[in-house]
Amino acid sequence: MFALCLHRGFDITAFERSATSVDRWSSFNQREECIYAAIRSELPRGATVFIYDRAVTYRQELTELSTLWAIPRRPRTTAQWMMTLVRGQECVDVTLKVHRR
Amino acid sequence: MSRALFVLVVMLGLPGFLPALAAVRRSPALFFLAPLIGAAMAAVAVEFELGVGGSLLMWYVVLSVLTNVAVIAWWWVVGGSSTQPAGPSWAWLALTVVVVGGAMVVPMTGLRTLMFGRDANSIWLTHSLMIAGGHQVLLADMRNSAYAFSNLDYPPLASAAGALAFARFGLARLHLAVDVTALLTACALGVAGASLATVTERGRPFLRVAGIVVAAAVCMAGFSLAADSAVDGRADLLWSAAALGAIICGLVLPQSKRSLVLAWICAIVASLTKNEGLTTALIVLVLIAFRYRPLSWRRQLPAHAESHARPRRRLSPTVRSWAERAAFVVLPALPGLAWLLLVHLLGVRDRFFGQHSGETPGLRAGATLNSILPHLVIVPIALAVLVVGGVFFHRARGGAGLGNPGWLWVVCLSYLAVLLATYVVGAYEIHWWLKTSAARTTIFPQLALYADLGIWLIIALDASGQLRGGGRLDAGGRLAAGGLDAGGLDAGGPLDAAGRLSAGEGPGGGQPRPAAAVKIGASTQDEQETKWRS
Repeated sequence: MFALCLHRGFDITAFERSATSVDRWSSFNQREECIYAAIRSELPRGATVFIYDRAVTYRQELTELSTLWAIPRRPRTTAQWMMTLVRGQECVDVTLKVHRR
Repeated sequence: MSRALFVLVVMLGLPGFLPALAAVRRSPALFFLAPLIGAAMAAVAVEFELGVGGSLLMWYVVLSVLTNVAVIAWWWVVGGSSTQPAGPSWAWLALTVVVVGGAMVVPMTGLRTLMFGRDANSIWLTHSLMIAGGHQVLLADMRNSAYAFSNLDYPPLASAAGALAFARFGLARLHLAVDVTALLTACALGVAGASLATVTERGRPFLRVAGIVVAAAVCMAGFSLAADSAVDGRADLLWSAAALGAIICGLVLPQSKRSLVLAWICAIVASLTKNEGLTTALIVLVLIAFRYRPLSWRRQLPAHAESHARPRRRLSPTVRSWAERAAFVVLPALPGLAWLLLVHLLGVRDRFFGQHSGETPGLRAGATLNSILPHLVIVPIALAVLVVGGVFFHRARGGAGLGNPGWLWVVCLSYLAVLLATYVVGAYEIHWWLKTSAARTTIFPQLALYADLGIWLIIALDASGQLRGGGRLDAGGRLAAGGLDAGGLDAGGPLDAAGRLSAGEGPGGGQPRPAAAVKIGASTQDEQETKWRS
């Protein structure tokens, strides 16, 4: 039982270290860092922002990455800015779209 | 290890080193424990940051200084007269640290892939950023409904360590938060593994090496069970490993002050890491209280014949012993409970309960069982080993002073019952919830049962060695107590409220200790740590 468990562990580590996995995560991190920088370049510090997106993961991602810079707000009427992610190429496969209300 | 990670280890380990040294003295757990204590202090610093004001760094420095001054003062007054045993030789200590730590090197290489788990992003990284922003930012964000998805009620240990990284290195490398969480996870597994290795601390060299190898295997098993979540910044393995450490030290190892304090520290770490960790830590702490202060319903018979005239016959347990039991639970649980109180006062509610999902309890329970049972294939195997071990080696186990295996099973089953209840009465759509969490919420019982297998393996190895070396089986086919005693395993009997050895222990009362194994009349717990041989 121990041997099976340990063998599985080695398999997992081997997969984590595989080129496919490294490329995938490298792309993910590149995308996150790009969005993080874009938020800081396109929004003034302390701006109240309403984050809208049909995809929950995108909404959450933007909320996380705007922490310590902008202030996510709900409902929409309490925010000065609007922010979303659209298909594009600026940040791997998406582009940050920001506009003032 | 990157330079930044090394600096973080020093940042966490340095303030925690002296308290760790005072707690465990010369023990292989020392090196893994110091960063965990540092991280626990950082988590408590977050509580002050949120509740009082100021910044994490300020409170971390204050708490570090105060804790170390308190430890030095304690050492000055009490430590010099302490009779704690010296611990293993430096060679064995180094071997244990190298083997147990080395076992985790390969799984930790996954960090080089720079994975970033979903929860690591949406929960731990977000909380780290909030904490790094200071009191005002943290307070405002905790009350901000836009962050409701982030489980704001989660305890702050992992995120506090990440925030310390940001305080030192800035926000240029967000992945540092993941690195430090994985590092703490390895430390928690290291504490559990190093503690497991001490089961054979005073055995023959072969047995000691076997104990170290088994401990290393349990650590590696932890990484295997957690898979990606061990190195992608999620904290499930961290709390599970800390809770396992609390079980091994508090409910498995022979009773001693050192084991008790180590168990408390592990319970504090688990309770400050995740809500499940707090629940499990409370279960473990209650059981530790009953192991160290067992219930005793025997009437205290009068010593002299003339006493028969007195009508007063006191029944145990006394109020004092109940107060001690309560203190055994409440004091180590205080940091975790303080966080719970803080978030409650702030009006932060967890998102797991409150709303009704619209699904029937039967449907939710069925889906839960279908989802978590495939992760628990270890249970029937561990149960079979428990039965076989109970039949053939229970005297050897008792003779070694190890706790009744029932304690560990009570923790596992209680945790699984709480887990099942949580899924059944929770608010989320059950299938989505299980799909995203069942693999992680079952890490703890699996890890605990693997550790139980490891403990039985060590006992069986020692017992079989004794048989070959001239041990004997009694009429029931069990190894006679003398066999293991001759092996020289360290042991200490359970202490009752008055500090005396009690006859048995365990959830069911346990088995009476063999007469040769009981050291009658020991006056202090420290004396229980001294080696006994039949």
